[in-house]
Amino acid sequence: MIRLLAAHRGTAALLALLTLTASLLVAGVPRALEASLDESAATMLRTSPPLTTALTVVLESTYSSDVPDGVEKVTQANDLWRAALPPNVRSVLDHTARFGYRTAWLQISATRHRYVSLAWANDVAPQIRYVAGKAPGPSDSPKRFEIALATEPAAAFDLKLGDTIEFEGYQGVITGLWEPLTPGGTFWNSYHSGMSEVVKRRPPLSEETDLFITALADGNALAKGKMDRLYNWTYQVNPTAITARNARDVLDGVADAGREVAGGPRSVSVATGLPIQGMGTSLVTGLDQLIKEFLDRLATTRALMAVLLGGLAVACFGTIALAVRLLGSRAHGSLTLMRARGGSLRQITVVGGGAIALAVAPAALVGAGLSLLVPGPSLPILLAGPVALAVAAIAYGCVQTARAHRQPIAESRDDVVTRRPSPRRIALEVLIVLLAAGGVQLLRTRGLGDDPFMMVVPPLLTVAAALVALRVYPFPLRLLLRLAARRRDAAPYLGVAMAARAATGATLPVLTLLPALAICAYGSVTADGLATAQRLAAWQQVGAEIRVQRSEGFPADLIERIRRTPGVEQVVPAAVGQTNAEVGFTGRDTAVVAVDLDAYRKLMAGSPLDIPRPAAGGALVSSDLAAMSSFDITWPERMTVQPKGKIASLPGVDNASGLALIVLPAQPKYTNTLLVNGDAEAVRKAVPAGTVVRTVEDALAEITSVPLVSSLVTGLRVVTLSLAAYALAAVAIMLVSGAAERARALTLLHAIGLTRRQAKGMTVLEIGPVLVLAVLAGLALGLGLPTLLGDGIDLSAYAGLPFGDYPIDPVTPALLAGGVAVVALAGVYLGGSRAKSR
Amino acid sequence: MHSLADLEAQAGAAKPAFGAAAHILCDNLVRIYKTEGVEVVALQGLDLLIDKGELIAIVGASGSGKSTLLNVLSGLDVPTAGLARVAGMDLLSMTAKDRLRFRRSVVGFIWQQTARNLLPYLTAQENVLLPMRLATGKADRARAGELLDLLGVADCAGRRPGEMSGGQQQRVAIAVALANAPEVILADEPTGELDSDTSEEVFGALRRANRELGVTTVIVTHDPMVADEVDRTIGIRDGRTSSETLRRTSEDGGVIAEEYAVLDRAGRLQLPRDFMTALDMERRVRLELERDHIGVWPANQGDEQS
Repeated sequence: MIRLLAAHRGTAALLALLTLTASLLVAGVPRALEASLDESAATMLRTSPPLTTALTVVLESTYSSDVPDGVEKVTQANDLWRAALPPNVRSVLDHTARFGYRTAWLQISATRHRYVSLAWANDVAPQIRYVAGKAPGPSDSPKRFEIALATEPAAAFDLKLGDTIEFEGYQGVITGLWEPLTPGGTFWNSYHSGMSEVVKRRPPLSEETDLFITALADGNALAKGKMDRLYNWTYQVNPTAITARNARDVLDGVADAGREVAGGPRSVSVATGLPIQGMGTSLVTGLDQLIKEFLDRLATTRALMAVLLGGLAVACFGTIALAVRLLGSRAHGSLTLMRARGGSLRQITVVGGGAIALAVAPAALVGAGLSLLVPGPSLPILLAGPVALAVAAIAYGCVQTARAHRQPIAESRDDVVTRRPSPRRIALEVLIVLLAAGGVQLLRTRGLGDDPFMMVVPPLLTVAAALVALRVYPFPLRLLLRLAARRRDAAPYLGVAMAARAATGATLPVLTLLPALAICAYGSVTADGLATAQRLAAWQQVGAEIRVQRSEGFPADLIERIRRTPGVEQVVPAAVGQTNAEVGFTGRDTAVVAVDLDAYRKLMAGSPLDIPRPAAGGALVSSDLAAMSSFDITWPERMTVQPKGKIASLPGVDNASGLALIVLPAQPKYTNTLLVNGDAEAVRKAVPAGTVVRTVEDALAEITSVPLVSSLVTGLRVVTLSLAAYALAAVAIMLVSGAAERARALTLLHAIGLTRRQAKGMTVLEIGPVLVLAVLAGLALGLGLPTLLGDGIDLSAYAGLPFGDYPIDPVTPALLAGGVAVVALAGVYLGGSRAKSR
Repeated sequence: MHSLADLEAQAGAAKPAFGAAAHILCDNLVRIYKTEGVEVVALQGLDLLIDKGELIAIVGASGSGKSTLLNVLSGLDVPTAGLARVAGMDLLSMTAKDRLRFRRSVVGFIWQQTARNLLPYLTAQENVLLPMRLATGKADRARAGELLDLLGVADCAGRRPGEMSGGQQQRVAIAVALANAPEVILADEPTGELDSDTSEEVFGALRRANRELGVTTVIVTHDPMVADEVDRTIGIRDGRTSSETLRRTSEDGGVIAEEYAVLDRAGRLQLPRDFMTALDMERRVRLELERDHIGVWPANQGDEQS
């Protein structure tokens, strides 16, 4: 076995190399992708507000008589709640203990619009410093409390140490004034927002603002008070603990936790150990929503990568199978001799399959091992790819050997005429085509999802297309043969005739080349489409090459100064804001843009966006306001709007969250936004501090720098180029496989006057038709795949806007496929000459 | 004088079947290669009898069916119809397992191409051991050495085929064929690629194996030297045995060769083509039974017209 392999070490090395790279790719690419998915999950958790990602158990004393009556009980409850959470949630939490309780907002007596809430939290004390007085102590009456205020709200409410405030029948004596040790930061902005400052809120339709302050109180004193209290136990998620693999599990866990916390027959009071009815307890979290969004994006990524990796697996296996066949044909003589000398079919199969296993198995292992160098999680499932490839290659080798040596006859006479395909094979082909067609239909309606069958559909489709192409192949070949027959020169005819004779051997190459090129073209189209869509989304976000915003507004002289700055080409002033359109009883919240649309259109000429034309004598409004003949708005100035046209959206204006949109097509009197063309750096230097300058490039960088997006694009490129490389390898093997027979034929023809040039031409004509067929059909299928798969793979999550609303650009995939064909044909041309010179 | 009862008993007694004693028997053997729309009849009712221990040559033009016959006899190919028996084994009714056993221990085979007989990456000795290993899993190195010695290539035991001459390779190939002590050796033009001196060596080796090991040897050949050296040469034409040449040593020590036409069991006879051409025989001939022979005449003009 080893000697057999050593005798054909060149072919064995090729087989090993192909297996190694294929294993590296099928294990490494998903591994890198998983790493970026994990990174994406961690980034999502890190950048979301901490209280959104945290799970907070809330207990309202209003609805439950079963409330903890002191700090000790609340602390105990913290552990009990944690223990009550489902294990799959508990495992992703960090160990920070964060709990507390506060009263509802209580109006301060003898004031209007001023409210106070008494609070205790376990983690505040280490974060503050008393600048006057001391921390609040226990109270002697359930109606009277010692309280401590932060200096800023105390100053705002004009309260001093020792003052007493009254609120809804209670009294608070200020015994301490404190300052945060480190103002700002997550602690004060998120967990205890509003505790160290005055919170201002303006109720809808109210003319005045309500002011809210928080006063710290002694925990036990507060717990014994009679006021309604809101208890909370916050459990923070460890950002790196949620990964692409456990996200769904965590999501289920959060839902379970919600049910568990909300109570039910199984619940017991965490405070007292008694059964509770679930009244007043609830779980507050935004984690489930975040995970759902992440899972949507995850599903899309995995679906897309499944398509690409499926294609890659088909191409890899096809190329490896070609190499296996080549090794089989090289070892055919030896195995035939062994068979004739008394080797049983089993012995021959073991020798043939064993030789292939010797080449393939270590290579697959090394490939899988090398994939460990790619940063990413170690998943046992990632070994499955290389193992499956190796097993498939060995199985194919065994079957090939067994088929070739089933009969121990040395010579076969089936070269007399090609055999008709067996009914079994035709039935199998029809089945594959039907399955692919049905699968595509299902995919269009149901999407890829997690269904393994669905993920097999795109590769199956490419295989089905290859089978159809093979059935159609003889027809153009016949035409070509007729055309060649008319020529005086015999070489083209002989070349095409050789191609026709090689047609039966073309099955595996076409089954390899076509899926490789189809998925390669699809990957290329998708990567280009994604880039186009991301660019479009960046333009949509910014609304101009450079967008300059200043909340204080731009005075006319500043606008003029910016306009005259060297490097600035065009400036269009605009007012962008929100107002309430006076429609109906409560009005309609709406985004308002006042801009000279003609100037804006000129500014945006050459960009990928279209700016609507202004409507004569009125405003453009979104469809929900279009039915009105007129209505009033108060911003940017009080005015009456007369809708004259409809507009769904305007670049740079976010009205996706249910806001109506009004575009006033006139230069605004008040300008807070400048839309600029020119050099961003020059603009940045020209504007005063506090001005926000945002460019399309900034927005694009933001979109593309998301770990998931960048790794998806890298994955797409890696897979696309690998597929092109495998396609070339397949052609090379195809060329080498037929070399001996070709050399015999060319030597014979050379003896009767064939020139070197004619020999090269003949070789090109022999290989060319299959290659052109595979390239054209693969390219067509690849370009058609986005349409065929339809909404099955929706990349909106990556593009930042609905994906697929752009024309498919066939240039890059065509160049790629054409490149493969040209390189392959050049190789064939040179190979033809070498075959002849043997 | 036989009594009536004797005659009846004689008539009723079972006659030995055709070729019952033969070591190799082919009776009305047919091999048709069928492919889509085309049938190639390689053997069309071939009869052949070879006794145990015989050394015979089979000659015939290219495409006459010699190699097909050899493939059938070696168990590498299965005949379409007829009867083929080698060393008592019926080649048509053998199971795959029997066939494997047959190839392992009953026949040995030598091909024309020297390179095709031996695995290029094994030494001569390893090549001889290969059939033993395939058959029993054991390697009898002593026997391999004996065989190589018998065939005069003991010095090549450690060499690979690429390091041996064509004649040496063919003699090692004979050793390989003899490895499992077969009863029959079949050689398909074993000297076809060799010069006359080397051919002689190889043929000598075959004859030695035949004489010393008693193995029945069938050689398909174009080589007149080989054909002239064997006791019996069988000619094949169009898939049938057409002639046999028997050689015997005359009293004065010279070799007398007599060529016979072969009469099959159905009474069919192939006339040599040049005889037919010389007398312009076509379609029909006239036969006349004489006292001790049968006369064959071309059909006369009147006969042709009728």
